[in-house]
Amino acid sequence: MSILINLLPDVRQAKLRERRRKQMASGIAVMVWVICGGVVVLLSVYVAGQKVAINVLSGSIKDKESKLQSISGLPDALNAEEHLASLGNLYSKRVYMTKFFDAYQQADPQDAVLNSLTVDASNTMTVTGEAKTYADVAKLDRALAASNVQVGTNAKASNQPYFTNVNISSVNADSKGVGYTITAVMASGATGGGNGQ
Amino acid sequence: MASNAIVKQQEQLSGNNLIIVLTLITLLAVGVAGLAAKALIGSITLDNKVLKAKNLANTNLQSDVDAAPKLVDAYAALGTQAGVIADALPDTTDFPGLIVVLENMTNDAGLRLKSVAPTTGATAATATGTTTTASGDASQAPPPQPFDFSLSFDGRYDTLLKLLDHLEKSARPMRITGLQITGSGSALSGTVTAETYYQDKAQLPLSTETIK
Repeated sequence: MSILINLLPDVRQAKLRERRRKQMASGIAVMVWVICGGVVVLLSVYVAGQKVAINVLSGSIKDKESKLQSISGLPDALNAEEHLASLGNLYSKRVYMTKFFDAYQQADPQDAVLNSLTVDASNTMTVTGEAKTYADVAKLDRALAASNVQVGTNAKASNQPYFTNVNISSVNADSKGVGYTITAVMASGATGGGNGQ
Repeated sequence: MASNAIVKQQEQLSGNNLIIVLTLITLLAVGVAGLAAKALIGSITLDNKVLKAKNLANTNLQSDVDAAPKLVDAYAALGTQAGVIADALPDTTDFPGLIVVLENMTNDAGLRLKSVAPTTGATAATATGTTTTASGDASQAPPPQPFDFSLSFDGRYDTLLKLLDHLEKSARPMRITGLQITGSGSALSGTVTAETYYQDKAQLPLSTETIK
């Protein structure tokens, strides 16, 4: 007795399975390629769009630059505007030495002679001179400390003093009398920043 | 039976080869695409910055273009007063202009002007100013530069006070930094040291900027 087995369908099935496997692999590969290509294309398009936008903006900027440069009288006007803007700050840097002399007048200038006055960048004033006595130096020191509060025209207790941190830094007897150095900070009322005028 | 098995194996081998080739090509494609994408993203990032800067420049320029005629008209309306601004803050140290002003002030105060001289600080200030301007941005106004000078005088106490008052109220801002006096109230001699200012000529706000 013999048995007949038909093996063809099995081979056919194997072929079909193999074909499906190949198709699936090819499909996945193509899909990945398309995704990769698509991403690159999209990014390239975006970059190209940016370049176009940059070119358009560059053209617009050049156009406006030309317009600005063609306006006659603009450099002078701009110069005046910038200088005017700076002037306010520069005026505020001024120091009013006359405020010192107002106080100095009250301290009997005959007895406390001035030699020099300096003001540094932080508005610290240094006064050097010669006085007859130590008391004259003290009088000048007090006059400065009381300036605009008790001393000077329109002085009032409620006013801000023109000079703060008034100190006698040195005082010593010499051949001419008493040499002195007084330091004080010129407050806002005695500088341009406080509109002391 | 044996021939069928061989056929199956051949089919499988052929299929495996194809998958290997496809995988390699896909890996290559992904690699190339990754590199390209990295370069493109870098370009996009930079171009975004450039676009932002150009947009800002364009907007600023537009506002400048709109404002320019008004500024020119306002300046023209100043008439002769425009000269006061130029005198108050000149483009250069304008030492000749300064000595004329000081002579007028001392004459008006009743002092004798003995000398006017730029002091050593002025040279340093000028040098600093040049450096600042050279490295400056045209879109920003150049800062004012100090110019130090000293003036010597003969006079009286009351005339000195007048001179100080004139210096304090001068249209050209002057900051008195020192005062040396010798003599008595009726016969004073002295030297005032002060600083005044100048500001380089304004430039149209047109400059380029490197974007990194």
